[in-house]
Amino acid sequence: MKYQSKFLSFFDKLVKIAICLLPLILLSFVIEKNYAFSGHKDYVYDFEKDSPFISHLEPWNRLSPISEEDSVYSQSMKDDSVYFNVKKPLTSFEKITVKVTYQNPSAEMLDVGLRISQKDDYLKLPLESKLIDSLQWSKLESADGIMYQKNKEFSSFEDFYQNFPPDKKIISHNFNIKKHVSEEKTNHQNITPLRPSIKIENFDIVVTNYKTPTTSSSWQVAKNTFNYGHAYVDENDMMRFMLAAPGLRQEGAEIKIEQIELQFERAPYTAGTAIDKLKKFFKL
Amino acid sequence: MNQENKNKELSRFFFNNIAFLFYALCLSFVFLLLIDTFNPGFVSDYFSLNLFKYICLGVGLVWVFKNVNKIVK
Repeated sequence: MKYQSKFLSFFDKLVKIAICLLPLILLSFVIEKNYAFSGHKDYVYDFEKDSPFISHLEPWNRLSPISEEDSVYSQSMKDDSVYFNVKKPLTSFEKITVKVTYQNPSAEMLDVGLRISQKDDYLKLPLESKLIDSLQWSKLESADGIMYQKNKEFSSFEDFYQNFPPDKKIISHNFNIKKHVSEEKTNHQNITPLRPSIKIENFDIVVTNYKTPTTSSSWQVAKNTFNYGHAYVDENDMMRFMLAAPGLRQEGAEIKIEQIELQFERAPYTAGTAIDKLKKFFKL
Repeated sequence: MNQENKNKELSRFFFNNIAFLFYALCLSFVFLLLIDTFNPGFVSDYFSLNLFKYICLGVGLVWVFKNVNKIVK
């Protein structure tokens, strides 16, 4: 199509190139979203509108209806455990971080679980433990985790591993003692996982990898990270998660959940990894 | 070039590009719809094809208007 004005002829070509580029930009956006070349992918469910990736919480009879207060949508769980499904991403990742924004006025513990087998087994990691948060014992922090001692005996985790006290009563919360201390040294009768009914005064040491939730306005934000490879993916390409607050129903308490966010992470794709993947795909 | 010719050329430029945009959008819509049919959610999880449909229709209406204008003239 020719125009008398040179400017219009030039501008016409420019506009047509831009129009041709539009679908390509859209297609690359969709491909990047699906394959996450950057190595990072986020799914968010905020109870205001449905998410194509995260299902509603279930079963419905353990939950209150979704409510709105000052334009903030939330839903309360009133039983020990509720579940949600997550659509498996198209590519695999290394880590899944589950971040929950909630209000928990009274429940002792809140855990997040990842379904790891067809038999409905869940790997649970802590989101909140009121007992540990209120502990006034001597606190020791290191890369391995956090150790609370009723009477300070160990100056470091190394010291604790080397002079492991088989006679002391220990709470192990999201902490693998066996990884650091040999089987012969440990007295398994004295090592207990954290439970809501536990009497802390009967114990001497708490070892944990738990991190206290942060507070943002009136909401608490807690997160924990699973290994992506541990997730069981069902025949509908869904992964299943659990929010567990043992003893919640018995107490007659509720936990108000405002947002669930899943962050998938792995190393970003570089030109090298892309070539390797293509070679693998074409069996070269 | 007088003012009347200038205006005519400008409107020709506008409608020609709208028509081109309409073809491009329709082709992309069909292509993305096909991808989404074979891989449910590949496109629609991130980009509303419903919204895209209405953008296509809107641009299409301008295109129709251009042709109606031609017939009337």
